[in-house]
Amino acid sequence: MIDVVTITLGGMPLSLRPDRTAHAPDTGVLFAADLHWGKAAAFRALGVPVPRGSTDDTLSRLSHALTETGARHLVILGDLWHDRSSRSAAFDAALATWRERHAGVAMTLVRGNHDRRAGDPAESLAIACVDEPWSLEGVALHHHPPANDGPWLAGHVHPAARLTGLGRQALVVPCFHQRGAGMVLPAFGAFTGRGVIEPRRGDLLHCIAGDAVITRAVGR
Amino acid sequence: EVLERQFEHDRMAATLTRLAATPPVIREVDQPTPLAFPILVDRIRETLTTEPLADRVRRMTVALERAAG
Repeated sequence: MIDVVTITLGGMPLSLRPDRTAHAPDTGVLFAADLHWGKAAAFRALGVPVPRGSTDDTLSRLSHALTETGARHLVILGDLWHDRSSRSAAFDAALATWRERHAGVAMTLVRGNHDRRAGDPAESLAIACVDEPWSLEGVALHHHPPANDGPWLAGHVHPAARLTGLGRQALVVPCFHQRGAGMVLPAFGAFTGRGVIEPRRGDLLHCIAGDAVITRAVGR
Repeated sequence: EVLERQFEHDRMAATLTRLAATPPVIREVDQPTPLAFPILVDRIRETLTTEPLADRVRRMTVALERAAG
């Protein structure tokens, strides 16, 4: 049993899920940001020891989210790839298999900085690529958060909230960072690092705590 | 005999006398020293918890580093 938080962004109802995706039930769209496929392999190729399996984990969690929500369209808000210098035949095969499993789901990538360096995915993967901003149902979709009032969704930041509690407790958790009608999604990929945000009064931080998303408002 | 053999009373007394006579030396260190380890363990005990993460987050608030605008 998971706890989601439902918000409305620019008139679009959005379900914020603890698996770090956002689901728009009216249109059947699932949003995820910053997958960074291949990041662990890229680090290993540079000599940094990192355990195997993080891309597998990312793909299986994405499959789970697609199945649970019944989404018909997956929109990735940038940084699908981390780096393709360490690609291998096995890696490509795993991706092709995964794509096949969700053949009925349309997939669109809003290109991010890592994607521009790595290049578009192979045509056979059937992932449409668009540049930011891309408009869907009146909401602007970006990789980099724009400077306007929205409504928009973006990624890139890998937002994390720093929380404090009694007894000098401190916790850093990934979150959806909402400021008015603009919201940054947490990084979906495993092993992606966290950008602790500097919150402003009025911000809403929808924090991911295990199986629940819990909203913490900033300021009194 | 117990005082001398079990507690080494004389040796203890001599040590305490020596310690009282020498001035303490205070040094700042960059890292915790080995003898600090038991104190650090105690401090860590304050942060270990069996509470589910979601419950903890519900009771916590966002840390504001500086006066936010």
